[in-house]
Amino acid sequence: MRTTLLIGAVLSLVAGGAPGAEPSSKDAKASGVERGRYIVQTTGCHDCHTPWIDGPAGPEPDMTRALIGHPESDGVPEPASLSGPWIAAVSPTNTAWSGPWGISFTANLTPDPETGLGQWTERMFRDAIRNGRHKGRGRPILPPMPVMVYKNFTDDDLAAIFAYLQSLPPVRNQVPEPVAPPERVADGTP
Amino acid sequence: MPHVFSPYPAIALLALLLPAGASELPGPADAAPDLAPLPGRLSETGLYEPGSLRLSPAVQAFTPNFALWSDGAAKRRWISLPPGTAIDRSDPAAWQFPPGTRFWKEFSHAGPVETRLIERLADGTWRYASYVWDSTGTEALLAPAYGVLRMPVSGAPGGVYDIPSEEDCRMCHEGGPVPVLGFSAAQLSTVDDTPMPGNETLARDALGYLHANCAHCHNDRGPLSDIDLTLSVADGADRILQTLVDREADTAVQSLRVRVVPGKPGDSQLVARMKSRNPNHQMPPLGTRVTDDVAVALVERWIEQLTAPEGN
Repeated sequence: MRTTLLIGAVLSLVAGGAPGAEPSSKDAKASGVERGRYIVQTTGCHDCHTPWIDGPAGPEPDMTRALIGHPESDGVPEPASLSGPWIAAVSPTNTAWSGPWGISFTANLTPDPETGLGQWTERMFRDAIRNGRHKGRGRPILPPMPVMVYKNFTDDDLAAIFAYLQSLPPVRNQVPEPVAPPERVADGTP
Repeated sequence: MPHVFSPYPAIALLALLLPAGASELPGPADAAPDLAPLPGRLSETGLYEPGSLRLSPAVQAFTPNFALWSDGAAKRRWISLPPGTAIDRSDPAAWQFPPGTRFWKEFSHAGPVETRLIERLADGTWRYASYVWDSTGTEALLAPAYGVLRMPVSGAPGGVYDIPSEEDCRMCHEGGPVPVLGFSAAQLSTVDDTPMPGNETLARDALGYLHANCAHCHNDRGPLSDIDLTLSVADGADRILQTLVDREADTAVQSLRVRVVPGKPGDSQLVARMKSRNPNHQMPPLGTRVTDDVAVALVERWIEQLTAPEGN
């Protein structure tokens, strides 16, 4: 560890060009955004939060609508009617899921103030991923969002992801609220 | 087990202990704050005298004016402060507790099920833990930080009981100005001169219930501040009414969009959310699997006697 730190210090001096050179806060912010972009691109965020289209080589995320969530124009479909061993179904856009939890729609992750994360704080984002609750305080975040995996991100990684998402162009897209399964009898069953 | 409303129990002993400004309570000798690992056994946390289940003389029992609904569990609560320390009560909306402060809350269904511990650390942060009682009721062991879902418990509704995860604890306890929820000016005041609209006793009971069960998230800060259900000793019920009555919610529940419709509990989303145990709709969103029927009836009675604000 000590050797690593020493090597790092030497490299910093070389990169900075002069003793005492510190990366500016602007540089730090840019590196956070870049780190966030890397994580978003490597951990499957586009798989569900970017609507898929039928491209020339088959289904692919429509990156012209990157991370806008379930398209408002697609509306709210009826719950899937399944038979046999199947338990869940997904829309062609990969943004609407139907299963025992009802129907869930992937969220608009762009910083639109009314329909996206524009009014979210980094703390809300971190809490939501850690405790699996909408806005970090409310209803459960529903399947197939892999909160159980993502809750293991470090605070720095979650901050970087949030910084990157906030750097995106805001896109107005009002994602529907989830459709609940039938009311359950209040007898202790989940 | 019925949910018992005890509107304003005088807490004479606490009133004596908390005469004015800062107050002192005795604390266990080993309450020095540090970042040591959580004890593996409840008996090692300072709640009991060593080698027994007799409460330590260093802890003080208390009962809040308005209880959190916990699916009918019977609850007991205790606090201890490190020796020579005091609670800073200069802000009635946010009492400040010294490092080393510990709170315990015991949940029982026929026998003790779990005892939760909240402790303030030397750096000012708080940590949360739960201890699960053994079947003989002689010792409770530290639960995993990720909690226990659907633990079989005789006497609990449906025969199952959820131990909260540490994140669950933080979700409720760290959404307001101070993580301690049941030990505050609003929860311990013996005299409340705050004017209430309409039927005063009914309003105080109903709004007190909402304070205890909702205001830890729905307060004047954070992502849910559009609804503020804090029963403020200083400001009374005005803001609660402003954020509830005739206010439209972002999301419909069973086609109901208005939070509270004066005179019409059946048209009020607040009641629908209290009744629901659908995870997408229910309020509170965690910590309960069964509806608090007594509280629903109380809030329905309160809404029935509300009249539309002037100007509507």
